[in-house]
Amino acid sequence: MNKQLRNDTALPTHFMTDEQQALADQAGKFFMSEFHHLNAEMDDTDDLPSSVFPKLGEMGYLGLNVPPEFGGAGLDFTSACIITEQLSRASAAIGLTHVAHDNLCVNNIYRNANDDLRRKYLPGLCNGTLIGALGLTEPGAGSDALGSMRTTAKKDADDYILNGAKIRS
Amino acid sequence: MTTQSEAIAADLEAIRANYSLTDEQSQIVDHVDRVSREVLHPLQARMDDEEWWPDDLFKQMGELGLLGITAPEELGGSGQNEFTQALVSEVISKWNPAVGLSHGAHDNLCLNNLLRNGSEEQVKKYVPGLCSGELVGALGLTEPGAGSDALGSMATTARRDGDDYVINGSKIYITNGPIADVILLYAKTDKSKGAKGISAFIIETDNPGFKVAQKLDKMGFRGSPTGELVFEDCRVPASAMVGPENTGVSVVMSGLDLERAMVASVCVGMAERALELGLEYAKIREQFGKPIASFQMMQSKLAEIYTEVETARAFGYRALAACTGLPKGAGGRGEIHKLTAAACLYAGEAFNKAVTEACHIHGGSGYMQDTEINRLFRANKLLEIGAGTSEVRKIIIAEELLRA
Repeated sequence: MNKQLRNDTALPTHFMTDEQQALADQAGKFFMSEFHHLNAEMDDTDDLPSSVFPKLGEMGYLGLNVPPEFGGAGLDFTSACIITEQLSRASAAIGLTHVAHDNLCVNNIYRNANDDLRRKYLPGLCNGTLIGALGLTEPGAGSDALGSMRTTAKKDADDYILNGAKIRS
Repeated sequence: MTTQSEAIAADLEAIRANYSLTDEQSQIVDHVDRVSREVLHPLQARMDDEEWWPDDLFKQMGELGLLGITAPEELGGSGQNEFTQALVSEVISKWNPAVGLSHGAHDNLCLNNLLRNGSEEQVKKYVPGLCSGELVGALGLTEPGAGSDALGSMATTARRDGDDYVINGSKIYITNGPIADVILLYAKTDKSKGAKGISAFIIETDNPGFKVAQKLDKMGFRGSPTGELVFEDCRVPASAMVGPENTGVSVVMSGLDLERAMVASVCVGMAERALELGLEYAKIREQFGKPIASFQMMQSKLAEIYTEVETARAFGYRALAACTGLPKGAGGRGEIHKLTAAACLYAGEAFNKAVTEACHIHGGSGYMQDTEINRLFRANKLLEIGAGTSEVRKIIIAEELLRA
């Protein structure tokens, strides 16, 4: 055990707090009972049942790192990871979809967008009526995502005009 | 300037020269390569999407001279040895793995086993139809409760009843099962004798006691029909027995040695295709302003894939050379048993490494189901499971090493 880590309370350790452990247990139980049985059908149809996002929203598993004032769960980042881990254990596919929504889209909006945008989108994203995604990779821009990006946003008075294509989003 | 495919063709010619293939073998390989590329390669996408087997494909293969490679010419075959049969398997599997699998089950597991072990009457009755593709062949060994312990746990029985045998039981993961006309089937004729109480039969699938319980939905090799077969009081004449009663184990074991040598060739063909696809993609895909083939980490993968392909080929051909002219009843023990298990073990794992890296070179696009590299990737696992898992192959090698 690393003494320095244990003595410095400002640094997180890799041990879960009691609350985090309780969160993991509760989430794990819920995801196994609600989602695990969907795996076969989702694999066959390559489709997401429409009930999944509302259910996640209802139980407070969306907007994990977003403060309650915007409709989120207000959890710390480690707790969000614990929930992602439990969800992926029950259903890898729902885990992937959830992380694209909750981390790539929702958390990015919360961290970087202005208050107007936050108020416009976060409540819906946190209750599951809106589904989020992130668009970075392009047909010609994979490992060189930034350097080879071809999608453009051209300023036109008060607007921007977008042109381009994104793939595997 | 030479094109990619010309360069590859030149490479292959050099390889064949190194292995001293005869002119006849070279001609056969050229012919199979051409027809597989033109006729079988375009079938891949639909076969994979729908688990679809084209109705007349066996007849078409018969017309193209792809069936009965080891059968005598007077019975409609090509009169070649097992080495040449493996070369044919290798090339078909390269251009269409699912067809390669079905071809192998038909031509090696069923037809060649029948040639080696059947009576003159049985050979005359079935081999011409199997060579023309009028008849489709399969082999029935694995059962729901009998996989690695295929012989010991075999539960299918054949009970003598007057001049007939009555067969009861089920077989699973049988390649060509759903479309087969004849099945070389193993069943226990004397349960008290364990593996020494197994006999081989040739079953016609229009028998009322035979049914296909289900066609199975696979991860890879999709299109090659795989089934679960059920025998319910399936009555066959005693003349349907292949070889003497209770000697099925030697048919199984010698057949498995040849099968493993064939599987090694299937791996070589598919690994060679993975190399071609990886190489092609690395040359056309540009990131950071240059083809990814210019990056040393990609070059390292290509070099490793090439090394796996050629090592598996060298070892596979050595095992095949040892199989050539294997006397009837031989195999299933000794040097040939060890060598074919080792070549198969190596080739299965070599193909795994090769296709994993080649798929990785394709980045996100290799993760898409409708790419050829993705089909190869999904097909890999079977080659480390079928014809004896990698673990069973190791057991065979170790047992032979320790027996001495």
